[in-house]
Amino acid sequence: MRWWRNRSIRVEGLLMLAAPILALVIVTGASLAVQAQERSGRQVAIAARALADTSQVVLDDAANAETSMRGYAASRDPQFLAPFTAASRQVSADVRSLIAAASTDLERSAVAEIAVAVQGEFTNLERIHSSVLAEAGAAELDALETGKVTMDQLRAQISSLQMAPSRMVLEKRAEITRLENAAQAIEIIGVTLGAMAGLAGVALFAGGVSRRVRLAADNAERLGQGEPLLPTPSSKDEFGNLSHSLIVARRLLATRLAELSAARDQAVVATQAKNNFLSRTSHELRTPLNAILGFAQLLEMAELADDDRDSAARILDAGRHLLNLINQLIDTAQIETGQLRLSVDRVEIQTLVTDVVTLMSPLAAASGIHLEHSANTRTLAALADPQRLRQILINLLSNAVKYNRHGGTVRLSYRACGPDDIEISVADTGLGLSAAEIERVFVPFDRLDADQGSIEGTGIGLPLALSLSEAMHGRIKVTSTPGSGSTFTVILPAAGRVDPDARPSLTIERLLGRQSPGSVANTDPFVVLYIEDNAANTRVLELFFSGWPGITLYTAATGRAGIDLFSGCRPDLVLLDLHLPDLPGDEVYMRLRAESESLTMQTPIIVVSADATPAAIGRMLTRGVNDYLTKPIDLRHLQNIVEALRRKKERTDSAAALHDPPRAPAKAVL
Amino acid sequence: MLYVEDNADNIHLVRRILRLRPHVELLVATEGDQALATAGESLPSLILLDLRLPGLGGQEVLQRLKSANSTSSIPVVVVSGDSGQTQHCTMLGLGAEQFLTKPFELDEFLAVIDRFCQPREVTFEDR
Repeated sequence: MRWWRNRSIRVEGLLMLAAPILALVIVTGASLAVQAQERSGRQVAIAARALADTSQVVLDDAANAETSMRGYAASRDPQFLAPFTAASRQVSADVRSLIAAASTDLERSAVAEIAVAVQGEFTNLERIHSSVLAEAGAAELDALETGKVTMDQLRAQISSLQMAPSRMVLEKRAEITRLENAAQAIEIIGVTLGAMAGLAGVALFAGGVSRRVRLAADNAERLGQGEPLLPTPSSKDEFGNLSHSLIVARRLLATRLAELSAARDQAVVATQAKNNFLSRTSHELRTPLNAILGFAQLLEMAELADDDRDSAARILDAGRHLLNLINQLIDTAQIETGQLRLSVDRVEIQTLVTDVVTLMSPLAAASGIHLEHSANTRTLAALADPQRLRQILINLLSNAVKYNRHGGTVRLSYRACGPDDIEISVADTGLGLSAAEIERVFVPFDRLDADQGSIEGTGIGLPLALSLSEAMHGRIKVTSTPGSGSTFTVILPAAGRVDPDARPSLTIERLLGRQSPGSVANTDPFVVLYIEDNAANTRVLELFFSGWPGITLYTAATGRAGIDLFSGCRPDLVLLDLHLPDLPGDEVYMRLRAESESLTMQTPIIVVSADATPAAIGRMLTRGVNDYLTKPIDLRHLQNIVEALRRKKERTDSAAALHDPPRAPAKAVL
Repeated sequence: MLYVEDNADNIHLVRRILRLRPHVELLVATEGDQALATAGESLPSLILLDLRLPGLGGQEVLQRLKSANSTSSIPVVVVSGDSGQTQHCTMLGLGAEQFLTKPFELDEFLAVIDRFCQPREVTFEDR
């Protein structure tokens, strides 16, 4: 087996074919030999037939002559002599033919004897003729007697001559039959052995090849999945080489993976270190900046000469610019580490746009840029963090002013884009951007004009605007015509139209100090399950939700009651306190999650806990809780969450109603 | 008013700003222990607390002020270079009255002073 494995596939293939080829050669050889024997047997038979025929002619000559002479002797009629004369003339030629026909020594000696006997016969017949002519009766009788004896002798000789070849033909036939039988046996054995050997070879070869190909394929797949390879029998053929290559590749891969992992760890550590550094440094920078800005503001208030007042104003401007940069650095670091907190709310676009344009007008005017905005009569609102959206717009506007041509225009406009999105566009009349430049504007710290140095900036404004938009489930779109200007469009989720009939409830107003959200037409109540043992906390949320139409609140004071209530009320949101009297909060969470999955609901579960340690928050987030609210509950935040969930539910419900109108009422049990 | 801050420039700045509100008497503490002691002795109308302090941290100071009977009712306004919302919420949760991000705007600062340090008797206008 080992010997076989070490042969190359070509050798194995040849060996596998050798047995049937050998069998074929033997069978062919045997059949050729039989054919040759048959041919020679046929020639022998032909020759024997010729000898027999010629000898018969000679015998006939002799017999004719004998008969003719005996007739003449009896009748004394010379007419009877004619056949004798003809035979005497013919016989010598016939005897020559007979001699020529003899092919073996035996035949030749027999033929020679026959020739002598024929000679004797004709001599005796001459003697009878002369005795008849001489009327010698005794001699005639004697000669007739001799002729009879000679004739019998000749007949016997010719008969024996004719017998020999036919015996030989028979012997030849027997020999051919034997040969044929032998050849047949050889053929059968050869074909059987050849086929078996061939099959065995093919089985050995194909079996071995396919098993080893499978093993190699398995190992290749394992290599792809980074699993350890299966051991392969060592061999020196093509498969051995393949296995060896796989092992080498595996080693290489393991090395590379280790290197990669180390590099990634380093990168993570480095990023963390960078962000920590940025964050710490930024905070440290604020302390001196506080003094700078503070004194500058005091100076501005003081009674100063115009020059000095201008100096103070410049210090203030520069200081505020520096502060802005620091803030952007912190934001960038927070986005990178996932620490950015957003407070998403309903934002009136019209108000925001007017506000931002008012703020930016002095800067635009100072650069000779005309800043205009289109007033939209429709009241539109987006779901966004108002401060962050404002930051994004200021960022886009200040870029549009900075990168505009002198005397150019910046236009701020907004519109609803379908039922779900709101677009706010900032268009400038600057140099515009090429497609490649558009790719680059969102890469942090990669300023398009960094080498020119004509315009101040760090190159993080646009990337930050994009990151903030994405954090608010929005995006930024850029269109540009090189030479005639660019348009940056922020697309954000819409918050729905303001419903003038929605009167804010007093309770909510007092609790939140703001209006209740626009009520959504909803026949299916939004169910909230609050699992909490502290009665005061429960009471707060009861008050909070009581002024909110379309929301049903169920409360449970223990974990078990909460789990029981879950399947009964099928809530759209679960608020879970982690410190419950009967069960650990983690367990309640896991059981609720399992219950939710078994009911094929994807109920959001939000933890509400006084435990604000990062460890606790991290643990629960890892387990998959949808959010972690620390006590005291930020009711505004909770309101945003509930509003977002309700909108989502309303959308899926209406989508389901469109596709499947006679939908079973899931909450009909209650 | 008690200003708890270790940076001399900022102390100087606040001192200058308070010239705009002459009715406010400024006490300064440059570290946590000193702040607690001064607060306990003088019972100021307002404590302006910087979070980055040598020794006892600002958060610790806030907690102790709020847990001591004598000082628990004194309004505390936290000043910090950290503009993060998390810290903001934590401080308010610990009983801080308001949160000022450094660097603060003059108007904003004066609004805080005016909210908590009402003049006991109006003697003169500052401007």
